[in-house]
Amino acid sequence: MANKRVVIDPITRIEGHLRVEVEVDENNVVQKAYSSSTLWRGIELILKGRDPRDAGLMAQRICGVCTYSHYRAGVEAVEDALGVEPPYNAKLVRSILNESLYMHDHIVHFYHLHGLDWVDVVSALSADPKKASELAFKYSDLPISTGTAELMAVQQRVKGFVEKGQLGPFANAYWGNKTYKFSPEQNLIALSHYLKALEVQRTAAQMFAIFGAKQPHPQSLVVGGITSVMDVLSPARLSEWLTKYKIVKDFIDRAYYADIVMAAEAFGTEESVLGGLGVKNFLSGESMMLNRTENLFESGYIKDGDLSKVYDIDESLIDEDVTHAWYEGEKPLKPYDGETVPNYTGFVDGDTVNGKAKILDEKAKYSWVKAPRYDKEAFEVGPLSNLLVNYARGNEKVIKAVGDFLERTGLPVGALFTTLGRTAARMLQVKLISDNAIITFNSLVENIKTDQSTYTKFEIDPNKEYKGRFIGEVPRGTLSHWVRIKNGLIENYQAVVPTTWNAGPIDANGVVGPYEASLVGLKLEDPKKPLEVLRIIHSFDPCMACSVHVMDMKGTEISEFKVSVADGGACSV
Amino acid sequence: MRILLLGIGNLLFGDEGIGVHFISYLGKKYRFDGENELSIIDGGTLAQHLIPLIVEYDQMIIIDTINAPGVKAGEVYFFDFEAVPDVVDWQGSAHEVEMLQTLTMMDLVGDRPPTMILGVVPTVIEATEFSLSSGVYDAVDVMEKTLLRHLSSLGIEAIQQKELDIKEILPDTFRTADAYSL
Repeated sequence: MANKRVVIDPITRIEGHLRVEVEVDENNVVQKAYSSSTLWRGIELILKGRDPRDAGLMAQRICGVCTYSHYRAGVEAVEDALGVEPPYNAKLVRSILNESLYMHDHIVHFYHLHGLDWVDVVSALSADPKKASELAFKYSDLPISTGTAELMAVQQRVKGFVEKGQLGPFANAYWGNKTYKFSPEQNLIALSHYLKALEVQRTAAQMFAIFGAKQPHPQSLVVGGITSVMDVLSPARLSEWLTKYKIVKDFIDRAYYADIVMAAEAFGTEESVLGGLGVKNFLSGESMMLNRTENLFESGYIKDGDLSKVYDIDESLIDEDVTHAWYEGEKPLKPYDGETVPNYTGFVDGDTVNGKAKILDEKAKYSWVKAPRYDKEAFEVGPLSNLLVNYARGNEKVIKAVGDFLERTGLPVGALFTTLGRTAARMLQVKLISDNAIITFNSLVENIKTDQSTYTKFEIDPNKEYKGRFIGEVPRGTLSHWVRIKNGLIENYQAVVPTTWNAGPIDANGVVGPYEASLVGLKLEDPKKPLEVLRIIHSFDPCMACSVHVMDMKGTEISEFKVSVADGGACSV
Repeated sequence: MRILLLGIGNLLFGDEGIGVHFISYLGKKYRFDGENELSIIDGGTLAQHLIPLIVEYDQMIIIDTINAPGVKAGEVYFFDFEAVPDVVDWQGSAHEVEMLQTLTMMDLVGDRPPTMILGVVPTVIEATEFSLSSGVYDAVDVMEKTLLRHLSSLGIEAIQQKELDIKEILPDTFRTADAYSL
């Protein structure tokens, strides 16, 4: 019997638009998988011919979630090109902003984007609140938002919401799928934290805004330094940051950590979350400057899941392949020389479990995402890669955090190389960040007593050519921006973003990327409710928020919105 | 009463940026005066990151692009979020899906201010320059009149400061504050 195709488009609860198609055999085991971004982005084309000092301000418009990441990358790529060294204060403030961003971003990802893959809201409504309240102490010494009265109120609130017919954010999940493993009481604890997280994320957003100078779109970074000088020098603003930081950290310690421990217990034997990792190469940039000599995370890569060897990144080995992406191009190109010539070839007719439909043309081109490679191989990027690389590097803080978690849950190291491991790694990463952000903050407080510089002057010589790049770690993984400057203007610009590393299509050599490889071998409980696929893909934290408007997502009526120009790569961070 | 005028959209994609361009244009063309306070803010595509800001207000007006079955490019729609007809298609743009989810998430917490939506149907989605299609450009007048009438009903008068064509401000909307004032 021929394989059947399951189409999931769009994958919801992500930033942007992603389509995944899998072929299952008669036992509903995935044989092949294809991931496609059906939207494209155009930042590189917009930036050509612009003032390099504007690169960050424009790049931040790529995405509404990764705003700061692209802003900073755009600014620092230009600094690298011009040879500008921002003052220590500026570097610390940028690091604090990044730490604040992670504390916001990972909470939102787990609870509001990924959480409903683990939590069955309908089941939570039938839980015994008193039992759930007692159970919460099993996962945290000091649980938060799990008093009996609070849990009853949560049930009432969500019931009321559901009765009004407004399922809202809960509407798209596959309720009742047998691979939901939480008990009703565990579901209720997590649901209460879901609602609490809606409140805490506001505090996190405010915490970020303190040094962002302007909310919503931060304007505090410039080539050469920062402009939020008054905030840095204000004791009131500093203490405001500290207050909000403590609230958010408290939630991470008492809710997020506890819920992942609970998930590890409940899902520790659920087969569909113990796979989900096909590409065992992991790459990570450095990030989280703590002081003049120390970063929380260092860069590097490991191969074939081997934690005994870690390598330094050679930037010249990064390139992007477009064989199966909707672009012109014969051979892989280095980011400095990247091109952006669209070649949209559309979809083809095919059979799916839901009848005839337009499907991806995997033999030709099928995605707006390019395929980044390091030394011809595919790599996963993201929090899991970040932790594994630093674990292999012998980073004591990381080794301790990972060790404590494995001990607490009774899981082996091998459990990290799974969907569950990827989801746990995101929590552990932000736990490490929230434990250590205070070091960066104190470094700043100490330094401004004697040094108040925030800006380094520079000049752009129109008669010189420059090139530079930013490579670093942002919430969804390793981000790089690459710029060439000529005649004082941007000559070429490319952004190689985390989701591109993970979601990219097959390359010319037949090498498969992390998303596609992660799905092969997965058994679906019900091909018409492919929750297991969503859970794996969401665990990567996809972000393709390139915000193009009404392009038809079903691949049928694309002509009306025909794209005339596109960009390089299809995603933001 | 505090009223928020929130422009939503992505400047990188032609008409998609109309919400942001439009509020920037209004802010330069008019001074607003009256018994109620009006804030004009560029929301970009930030969606739920905007929640801390939105909760500060008693009423909100969102300016955005919109699509629904049977609509034509350049048409303008204005409605209460509570009355969003099912036919309105919020799919297709990350920020729109997210903006709708954001408003619903605020309902879950129970602190979304009353929300009006002023939407225009876009045509051009090209990432080459900061520009608008003629359809959306021609719709600006209708959008402006609709909005000013609504603001007037809320006790806010728009006092024109100068003659201005929205085309004049398009190239600089991304620079919403003077980033080089060091």
